[in-house]
Amino acid sequence: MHCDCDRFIQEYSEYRDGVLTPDREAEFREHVAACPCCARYDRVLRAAGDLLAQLPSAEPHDDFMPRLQHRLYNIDEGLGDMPAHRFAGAAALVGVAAVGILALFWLPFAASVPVEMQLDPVAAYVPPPVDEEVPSLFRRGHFVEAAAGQARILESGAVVWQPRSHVHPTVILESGSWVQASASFGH
Amino acid sequence: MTGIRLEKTTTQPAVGSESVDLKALDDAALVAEYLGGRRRAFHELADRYHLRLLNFIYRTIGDRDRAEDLVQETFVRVYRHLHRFDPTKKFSTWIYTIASNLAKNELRNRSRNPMVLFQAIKKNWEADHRPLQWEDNSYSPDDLFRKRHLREQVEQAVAELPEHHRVVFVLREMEGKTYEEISEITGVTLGTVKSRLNRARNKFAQIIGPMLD
Repeated sequence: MHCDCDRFIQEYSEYRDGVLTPDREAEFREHVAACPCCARYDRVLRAAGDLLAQLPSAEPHDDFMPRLQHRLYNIDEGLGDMPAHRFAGAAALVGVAAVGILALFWLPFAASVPVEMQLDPVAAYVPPPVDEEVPSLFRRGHFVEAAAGQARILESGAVVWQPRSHVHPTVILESGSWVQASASFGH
Repeated sequence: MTGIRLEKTTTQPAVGSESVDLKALDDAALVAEYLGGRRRAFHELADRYHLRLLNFIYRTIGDRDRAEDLVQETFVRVYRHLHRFDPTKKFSTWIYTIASNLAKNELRNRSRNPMVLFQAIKKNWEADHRPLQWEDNSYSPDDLFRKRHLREQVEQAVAELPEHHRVVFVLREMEGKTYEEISEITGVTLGTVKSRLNRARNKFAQIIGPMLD
């Protein structure tokens, strides 16, 4: 049987790996011996195969086995199998999601809850205008100043308001009703 | 009539027995030991296969660190599903099938999310930063340089093969798998294995040929 180059190339793998029938293999050997192109093809691939076998082997990192044992341990313990960096990422994601859900539920309530807070005391003092009329109880204005006088209760039950400043009126209140609301100057 | 009942005895230790030398067992026996409750048997399987799988995946995907992750993943999957392993099949074929599928997924994911592979960038860097080795004095510096250069060219030629061809090529040329095993591992017919292997070798010869003449 004639063996041409095309057929040799097409079936080369089987020839190389020794899975051809003995007759076919003998034909191929004859062809290689007679054809320089196919002989070169065969020589190149065999030499390359030798080089492939000499390639340096990739070595695993030193922690390969401990890492594997740790993962298998997690599976045995029912902890799930997740490399540490993925676990940290997942934990962070769950944390953010939990905070988001809490905020979502809390915000509507936060708007309706009154917030109480204590502010620092503020002292205000408005001095009486110099040209102003004498203030009256029946007029608008700052006519009562607790620190500016004192109240006395008479034996009759009347209350006398005596301002310290001469510009303020004296006010006498009787029990039950107003009997006098006059302004006098001086003590 | 009275008789003596003879119990059949065996000198072979039972499965799960601590007295069994794990290193002397074949893969199928190790699987049986593990399923019989002897955890150390799985570690023996891992010892036996981790280097081979690392090189297989590394040659297939071209990224050493990622290859190591995928070997870990292979063992985790084997560990989870060992009870489903069919003992009539070869364990090595089963574990290579899992590793091959993980490698294929990795390549598929890369093609969907293209990025510059760092391994490709640092190829030249690696050549100059390999650990120092004691060189064989019987070779001249020129020979050593040529040998190293050829190795790099061969590695590069393997990496240039199309994915489907590369898996078959590595399994046959570097792992020494039979056509039937490759067919089972890759999930393609025997005819496809032969066809892919032949094309892979043809392409490989075209790349590497000029350097070997």
